[in-house]
Amino acid sequence: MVDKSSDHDDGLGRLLTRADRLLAPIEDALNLLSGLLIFGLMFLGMLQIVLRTVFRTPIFGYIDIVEATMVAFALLSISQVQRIGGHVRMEIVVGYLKGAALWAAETIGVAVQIVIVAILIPYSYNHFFRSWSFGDSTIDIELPTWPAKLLVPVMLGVLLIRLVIQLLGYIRLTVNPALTPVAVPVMKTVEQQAEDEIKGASAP
Amino acid sequence: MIIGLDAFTTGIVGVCLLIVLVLLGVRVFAAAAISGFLGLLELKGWHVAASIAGQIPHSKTVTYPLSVLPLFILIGFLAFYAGLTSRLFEAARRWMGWVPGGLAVATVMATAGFAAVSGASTATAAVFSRVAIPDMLKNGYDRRLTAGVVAAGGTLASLIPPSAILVIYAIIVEQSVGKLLLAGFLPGLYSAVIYVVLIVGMCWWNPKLGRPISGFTWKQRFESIPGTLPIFVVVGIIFSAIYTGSATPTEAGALGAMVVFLFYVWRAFRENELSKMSGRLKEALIETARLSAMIFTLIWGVFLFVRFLGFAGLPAAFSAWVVTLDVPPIVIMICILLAYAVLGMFMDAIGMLILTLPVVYPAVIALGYDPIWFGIIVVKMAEICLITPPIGLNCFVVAGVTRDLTDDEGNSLQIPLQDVFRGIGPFFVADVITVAGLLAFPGIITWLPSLMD
Repeated sequence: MVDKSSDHDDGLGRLLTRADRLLAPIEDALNLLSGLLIFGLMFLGMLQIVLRTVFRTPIFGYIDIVEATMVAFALLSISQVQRIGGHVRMEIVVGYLKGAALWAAETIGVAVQIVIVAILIPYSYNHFFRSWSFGDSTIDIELPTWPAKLLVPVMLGVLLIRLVIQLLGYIRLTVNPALTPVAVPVMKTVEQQAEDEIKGASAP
Repeated sequence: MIIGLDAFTTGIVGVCLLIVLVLLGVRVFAAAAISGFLGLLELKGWHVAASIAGQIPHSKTVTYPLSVLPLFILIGFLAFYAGLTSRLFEAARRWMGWVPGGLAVATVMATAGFAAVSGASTATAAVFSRVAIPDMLKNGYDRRLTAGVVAAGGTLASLIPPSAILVIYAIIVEQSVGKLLLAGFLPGLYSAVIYVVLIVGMCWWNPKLGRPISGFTWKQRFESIPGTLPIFVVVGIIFSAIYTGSATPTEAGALGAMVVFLFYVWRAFRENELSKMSGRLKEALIETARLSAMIFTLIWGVFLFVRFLGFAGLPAAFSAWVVTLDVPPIVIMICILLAYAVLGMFMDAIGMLILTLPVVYPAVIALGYDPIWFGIIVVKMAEICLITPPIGLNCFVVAGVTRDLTDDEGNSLQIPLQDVFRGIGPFFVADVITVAGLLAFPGIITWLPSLMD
């Protein structure tokens, strides 16, 4: 989370806070873009129904268009969700840990994520590159498939930057648990989770 | 090929690695993806493993049936921001207030109605805590009953369509999304009816728990209907589209979201709240995008593991073993359900299903159970976990909301957590009866989807 206090006087803490503040607006913008695309999907579906039932001329290549944009819903928000600690996990063990033990476990968790994401980036890039060089396209409207495939390594790249920031943040805390956590999501108790649901529910 | 284990042993080692990583608190998508990748590496070598891993995040997300998910999620958020909840509750109390425990019955009816536009259980509980609890307490309703009915009512959201979790089940086990959605409808209503019977019975036996409220004219009743119309329209659209096959679930989801969106615009326009609306709409879109990304990431991460399991032959081996067990299938089914009940106490329902189904599902089918039926039962089990200690998130939500509530004179309406857990007791028993009913009479689940054939 973005920490607005400046009570972390160590160099790494300051650096991570800055990196976090640079990346966060990009992640938020990508997340909003994903939301707008979903909103667009609603209008597209609506248009498709009207054109098909009223004018008997469905949108040419509707399914191709929907499929091409799906990679965006799947991946644009991936790094923002990582920032807020939103990806599903089980807290049965880490929930009981405190201090250095907790931060060490979090460090291992993020390290595992870094390994798999680092493996996926070059090979999903290869997947893109093949379809780019063969000029691969969809069957119906011959929409090129490479832009959607390129989005995978790009968004995983953003996620990797976020993961590296979190890794350093957790290592910093493992070494000195007395420091204020910066640039890492702080685990929530079930009461805090409930609190979040409640805040969300009080809007209208 | 790296260590030289045979396929089956590699499969077992892979599953163990996954369990260890998940227990350590690694995000499930990454734990599954890395276990799957290492497994493929051992079985097929670097080239094949890397090539499969590079394709899956793209190939497993660009499947048209999955595109319904963000739209269903959007319907729920829009309906919530459009303020449909308080209108529903008002209509339900005018129509159902006269029975014993009338306001509690009205709460169940309203949560069931809201479930028809939302698939999020804890959010439903949070919203109705604000809408229904002050009214029930003002009318002298028992605190435990009040808390219990709201926490339990929230769980109806996952069964009554549109339900994100049922779509995910359908896609993982490769069944028809439409059939699963139709199948959830009657069990959802049946759960609601059991709750209503329970409340009426308790309040008839001991009227102090909750008295009927009366004094509404038929005119007032009918006046309450128009504010709830979007719900009926959305239900109508989704059902007719799926049932007649005239539109895909994605198209029906788009139309449903559009209806709720237009209702929201109309309401904001009439109440001069257009300026507030854009901020809330943005919030709804942001939340929708986040939840969609979370689910899609889980799906591709786990599919990488599933691909490895397939090569290792583990699901086939597990179902072959289960079939040879010398116990009646129903005993195995009850063991599986109990295992889900325990697992669900510690893990998010969607994560739990995506992670376990690839192994459990083939075994359940080998035992001769119906795929659609099993989907509904598993989702109902996951929902029961939301009201069961020690986690029981819905109960925490209710306790948390009431902490900030006050009555007209400023007195606190707080219901402590232990009272919420006591209040949920009868509803837990009702849910066990519901599951037993679904086990004994599978037709409640399978009848509606069978009409599609």
